[in-house]
Amino acid sequence: MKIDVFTHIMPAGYLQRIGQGTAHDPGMSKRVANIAALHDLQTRLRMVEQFGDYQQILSLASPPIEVLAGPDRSAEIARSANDAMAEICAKHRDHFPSFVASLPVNNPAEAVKEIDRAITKLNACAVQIFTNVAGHPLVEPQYFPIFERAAHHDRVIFMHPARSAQFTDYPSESESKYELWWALGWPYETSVAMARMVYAGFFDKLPNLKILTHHLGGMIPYFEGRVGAGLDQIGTRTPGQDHQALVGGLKRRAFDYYKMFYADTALFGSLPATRCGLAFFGVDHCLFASDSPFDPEGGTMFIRETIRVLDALEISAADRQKLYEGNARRLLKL
Amino acid sequence: MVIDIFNHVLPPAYLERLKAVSDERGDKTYRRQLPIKPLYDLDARLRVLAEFGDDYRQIICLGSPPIEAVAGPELSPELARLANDGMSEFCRQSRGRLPSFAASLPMDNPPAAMREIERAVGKLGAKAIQIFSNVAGKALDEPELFPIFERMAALDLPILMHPARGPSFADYRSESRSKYGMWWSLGWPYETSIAMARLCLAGIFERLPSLKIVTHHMGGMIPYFEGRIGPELGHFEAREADPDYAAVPKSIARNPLEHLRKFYADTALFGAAAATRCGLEFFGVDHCLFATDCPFDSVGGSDFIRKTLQVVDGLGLKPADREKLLSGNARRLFRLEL
Repeated sequence: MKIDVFTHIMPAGYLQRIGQGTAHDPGMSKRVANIAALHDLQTRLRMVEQFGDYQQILSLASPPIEVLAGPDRSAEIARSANDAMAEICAKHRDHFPSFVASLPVNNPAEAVKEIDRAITKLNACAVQIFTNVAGHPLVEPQYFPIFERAAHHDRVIFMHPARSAQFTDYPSESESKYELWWALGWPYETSVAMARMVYAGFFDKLPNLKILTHHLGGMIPYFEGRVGAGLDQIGTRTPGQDHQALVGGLKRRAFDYYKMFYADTALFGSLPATRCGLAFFGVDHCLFASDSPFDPEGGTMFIRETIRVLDALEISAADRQKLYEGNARRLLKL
Repeated sequence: MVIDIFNHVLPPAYLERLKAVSDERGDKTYRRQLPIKPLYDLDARLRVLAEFGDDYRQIICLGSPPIEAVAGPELSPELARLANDGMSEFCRQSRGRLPSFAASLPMDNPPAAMREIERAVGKLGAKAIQIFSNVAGKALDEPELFPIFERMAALDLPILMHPARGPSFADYRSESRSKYGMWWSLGWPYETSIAMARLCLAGIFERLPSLKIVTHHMGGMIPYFEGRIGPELGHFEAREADPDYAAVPKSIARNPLEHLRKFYADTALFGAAAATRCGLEFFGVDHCLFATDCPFDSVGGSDFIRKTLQVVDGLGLKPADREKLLSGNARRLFRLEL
């Protein structure tokens, strides 16, 4: 069995509810409308069946709820998304053994309640957050109870990147061009969010915290030398910030914490990159995921390409089974 | 022979002028460099090289900050001349250990930059130029910078591209500065990747097929995220309403990844073996060059040299490929007679 842990959906009812929210973003509305497997359940079921011994864990597609709604409405939207995903999973358990709950992260008290409800009542297997909360870093203290609660339930937090074209790449320009905010900005977001959690001491405070990073840990594996030997010299390059004092509070070398994250294989068919990420996190911390259905074919291409890569990895059968299934069963308690 | 093609110096006369200009502006960036003697003291530098035997050479270039980040267009030509005179002098006094240098340019003053290319290459023996991933915040695909690329293609000498970003480039909208050195540790490779994508999509290799640009730190994020560039950015027809995409030459839009492989990349990944393999597979051995980023490690240079040599030793390359990576490609690109 292959369990694809990070795949996206927009339940039809949820899509209707947020319709007004997407109206301000015509690009996003168009993208969603063009990908039938995202909102049309019959199309999705047929797509999953094409791959035989294959199942998907569902999570909500971008945009993050906190971008669509303020703290007054986000909880209600999250609840409806989770109810809809729970219903799909209950009806089609063979295709979708479980789902990742969405949270109203901009309303931490409600988010904590929704974690409890989704895990205990709806059989969610994990929760999803984004790399920033409407522009704020995840390490701001008001969000900490969310991490604490997920750790209390011993549930994995799936971290998805978030950034839009308005986050420009050059101070002289007003927008990021060519969707580079997406192609490269998202992995940057993931990497910085990881680093900020490391320096905020999340893994000292919550030793059993499990965070799954999308796209095989963002930039961290490829730049392990920069976050390792490079950032061992933290503070020497930035005038006016006392970094040594902050780093001194950590129990280990900062670099060691990056290996405590988990990562998925959603690299869209790159074998050399997958080898690199696997060497960094180790086989027990990597999980099969495709990011379906966000590919040019509307869902099948990234699944097929990711399976091709995983099958081509020079690893033992036991390790391949961990990537495809074993780690997911263990971590997501399936 | 080992030729280390991307490593940094700050010649003494240039450093003095940099200090004066920075102090006037209240810019303390240069102070980090002061404890690193092999940057500006040639004897200290040659002692670092000596640890690696007679066969280890360096092609030097200037250390950050970019000239255009500390001086405006009036002052930058003078700073570039000082830097290039100093690097040329270092090479001359190095008894062959520093066979050449990559010239610095006043990129915020393109006419002066063009004149400095001629002077540095024609009179001082520079075999490359160094540019940064942005020019004081502007993208490298701005038309006013094109003559610089054009001239280097005509001279058939490489351009070394170094990343640039400062702590004021915040990582989150709610913050005013980047924290924990993220602006350089991760922001710099991001800068490199964006600059590569922008130059490529602007059609630089279509217009200048012989252009050679060496990207620091093994091509930034491009090799690890080739999957995100490949099928998605290649899917341009879905976005034809967007004027940015409409301007991309069709031959590039069909397969941007193949055009990104036209860049060259160096091995300055500070000892990351799996990443070096990944980058090498993306660019191919003919497009990868040995470099260490010396002396920016915690011991003044030798640590990154040792680590990078170890990584190359562990790659399992055929002797001919290993020779290309360590020196052959450098000899060819920089047109060195060594």
